[in-house]
Amino acid sequence: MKIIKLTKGLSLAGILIIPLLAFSPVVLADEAAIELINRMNRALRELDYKGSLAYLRGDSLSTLQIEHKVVNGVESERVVRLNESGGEVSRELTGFSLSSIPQIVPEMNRVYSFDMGRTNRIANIPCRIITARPKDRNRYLQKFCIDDVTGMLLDYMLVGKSHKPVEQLMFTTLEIGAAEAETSEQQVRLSDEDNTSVSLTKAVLSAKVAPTSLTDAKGTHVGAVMVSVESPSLPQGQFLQAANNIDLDDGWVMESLPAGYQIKTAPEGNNNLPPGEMGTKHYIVSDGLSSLSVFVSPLKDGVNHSAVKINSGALNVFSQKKDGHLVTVVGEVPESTLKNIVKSLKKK
Amino acid sequence: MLPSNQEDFKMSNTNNTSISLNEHLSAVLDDEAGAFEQTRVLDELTKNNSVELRQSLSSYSLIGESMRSANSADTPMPIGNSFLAGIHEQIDKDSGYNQVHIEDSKQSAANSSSWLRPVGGFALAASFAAIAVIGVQNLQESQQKTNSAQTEILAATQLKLKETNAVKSQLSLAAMKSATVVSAADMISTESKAVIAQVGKKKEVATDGYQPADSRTRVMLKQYVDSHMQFASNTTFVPSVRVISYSDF
Repeated sequence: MKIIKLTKGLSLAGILIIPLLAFSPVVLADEAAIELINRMNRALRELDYKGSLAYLRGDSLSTLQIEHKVVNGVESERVVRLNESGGEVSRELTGFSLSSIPQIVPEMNRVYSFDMGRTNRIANIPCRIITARPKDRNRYLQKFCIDDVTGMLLDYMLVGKSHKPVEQLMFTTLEIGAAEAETSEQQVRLSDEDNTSVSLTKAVLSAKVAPTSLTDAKGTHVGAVMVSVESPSLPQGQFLQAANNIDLDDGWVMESLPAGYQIKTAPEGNNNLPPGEMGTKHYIVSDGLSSLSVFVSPLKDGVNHSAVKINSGALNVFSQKKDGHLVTVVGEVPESTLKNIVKSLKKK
Repeated sequence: MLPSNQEDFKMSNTNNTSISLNEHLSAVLDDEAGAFEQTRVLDELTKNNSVELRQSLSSYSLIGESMRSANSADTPMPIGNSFLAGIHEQIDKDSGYNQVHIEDSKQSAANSSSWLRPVGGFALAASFAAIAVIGVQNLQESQQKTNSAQTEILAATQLKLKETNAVKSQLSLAAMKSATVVSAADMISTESKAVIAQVGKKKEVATDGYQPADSRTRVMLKQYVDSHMQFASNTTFVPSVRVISYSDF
């Protein structure tokens, strides 16, 4: 009789405890962290903002000025380097980019642990620290500080296995929604010809993909400025689900990928590879937060491409000859991940 | 049941009383005695017939003070045969020391345990004192030697430094004469040349078993990095930041 009562008691406790565990603070914190990162991704595309930031890459520190605005649904971005040799990058974001698609999904809990941290202050704006802690050595730890109000990213850090930042950018000043009110004087100053800036990249991406409105999907009005941005979606046919023995072009097979990573083909004809590299295939491998590119290029007669291994801050480059091709992997992931990818790529 | 200390005292209330008390007195001075022993020694010292024990206290204090003063910079240590003679004199005068016979010490350890300890203590104290004296003498000698050696080394170093500076200045002159003159126009090159040259910096980063990339490979890698930044970066404005920062890649 007592046993029955005890069993009943345990069952009742189970009924009460299991839902509590499901909605435990840890789980809720994870979801809140993911939601805030997704808000950040949208805010970065939808907000008009202008500011200065410090950028640390390895041991090299730069100061940059960034301006982002959305005009008639088209994003444009300009980044000016304020130190050393100067430099400027201007681009209109009209085509496909992995960054234009909100990536963070709860399934990523398999490879990352998302933590909602304390409140910090960057550029005199309070922000919330979010940490995406990898569960293996195939990706860097990522740390964000996101403005709770606008969703704007104020501080971003990639941390390597030695627990030291390999890359960090942090706003020092930031104006949100100031792009429209920009004075002509400021415009002149930004495009001052005396500036030693050199347009290194003019990236107008014109992907052959049907644009869809983000507001149709999961638009969130952030702050005072809300612009509906037309966002390209990735064709389903170009998605190659993560699995073993993934068939790629020209008889190449990706035997396995590190946990959580998926491989996609980059839109053809939209890369800015030189004419001599037109036969090159570009694949994008991503887990939603970390990404790398795989370039497979046929070796040409008389050209001696040697194996290369380069590290610069968070970026690693690894290149190796394979079956009459040069396989090059580039990404903000640990070198070991790049090597594993190259190892897994086989010719049938 | 009495504690062992009390047993020792009971046993020492025979002919060897003074030895035992001296032993405990030494222990008290060395701060190695227990509370019971300290009380007992203090009681003995306050008695009218404890002249011998008081003399022992005075002697031990003198020895201890002499040894301690060896470590003090303020109090000069009496150095020389007179000091050693003083210690020997004090030890010779000590009644406990006089009662010890060498033959006794050759007896079994069990028999000697009660009275051999103070002997060992005094011998040890004397040894320490001698070592301290010899040490201080050696220290002074070695300090003098060290000072003179340091002076010699300093002089040699200064000489070497002068010679090195002279060689350096000669090298600098030679290097300046042989250096290629580079004009500002040479330094400002075309954008592509600059990119290639900057990529060339990464030669240093290329490591074990990997050949430094040639210029063609470096240009190709630069294009790959640009393509990666544009298509595969996850955070919206980070691609532009990376592109401009990796322009010197």
